[in-house]
Amino acid sequence: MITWILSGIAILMIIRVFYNYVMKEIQFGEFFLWLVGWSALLILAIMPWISTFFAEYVGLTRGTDLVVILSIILLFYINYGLYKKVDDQQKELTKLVRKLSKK
Amino acid sequence: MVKKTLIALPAYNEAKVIGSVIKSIKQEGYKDILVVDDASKDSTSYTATKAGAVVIKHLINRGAGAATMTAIEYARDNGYFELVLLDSDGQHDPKDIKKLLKAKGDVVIGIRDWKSKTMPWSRKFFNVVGNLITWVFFGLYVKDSQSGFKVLRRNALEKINLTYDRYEFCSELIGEIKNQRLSYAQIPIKVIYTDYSKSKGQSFMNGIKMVMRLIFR
Repeated sequence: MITWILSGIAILMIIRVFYNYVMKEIQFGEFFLWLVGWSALLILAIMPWISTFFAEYVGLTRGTDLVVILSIILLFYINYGLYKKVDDQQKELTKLVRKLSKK
Repeated sequence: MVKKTLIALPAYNEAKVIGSVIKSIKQEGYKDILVVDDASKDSTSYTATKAGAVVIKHLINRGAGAATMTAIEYARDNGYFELVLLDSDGQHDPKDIKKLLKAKGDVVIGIRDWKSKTMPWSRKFFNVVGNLITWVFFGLYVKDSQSGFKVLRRNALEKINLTYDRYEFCSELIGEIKNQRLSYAQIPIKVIYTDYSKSKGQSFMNGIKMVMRLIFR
């Protein structure tokens, strides 16, 4: 069951990534990165033994553990990037408001 | 030409009291009064202008720190020698301005008496915590890091750059004293606690949010 759910989500997201790229909403670099990410999820959903193979390689017993750990690291990384972007935009917004207020 | 003293009041929704605050500052003999209206929804700007202050209005609300930095830039750009910052909710006594201006130092911090019986316990608690947080994050311990009553002299006006938009700016300003190697003095001030002024300022939740922003920035 979980295989079908994960595969479905991955396929939908791959279609969306293609759509965003064709509509020129994202650059090639972003398109490639997201395509690799969602394709990896699709492959792991169809062939879960691959994650076990890699898990054993890095010293973990279960493939699921490796996927969960990597996902958490990736989410933190993305979250930090977003946080930094928002913080920078807030600073720019304040500068803009200040400049306009003095006119 | 170097102008002497600018009194600045960062304000947000203070229409009820800002007029009387400006009037009492004028009674002490200060003519240059600036109100930085941080996009108030009420008639703060109108009331302040009517009372005789120069008003700068933010188009959108950016917080007390952003409004304070706007006041600093205004004083810097207009050649003021010293900038007096005080709260616009009427909790500071304009009679104390003279006392703070007499003290030497690039920065003069007005220290609230935390032994005072009129000071709410929540404020006392927040002040102690605020001082400790300031010390941990910015490396300088002062008696009242969260006080809004301060004097910044020319040297400080030219060097201080506040990047925090919200209430964290109080701690950041103390950090700037250390980083920019500014001299400072701490002078006791009187605080007038009314129901109105108690409803303003920092709440406990604001304090929690402030710590979170300091940690995760």
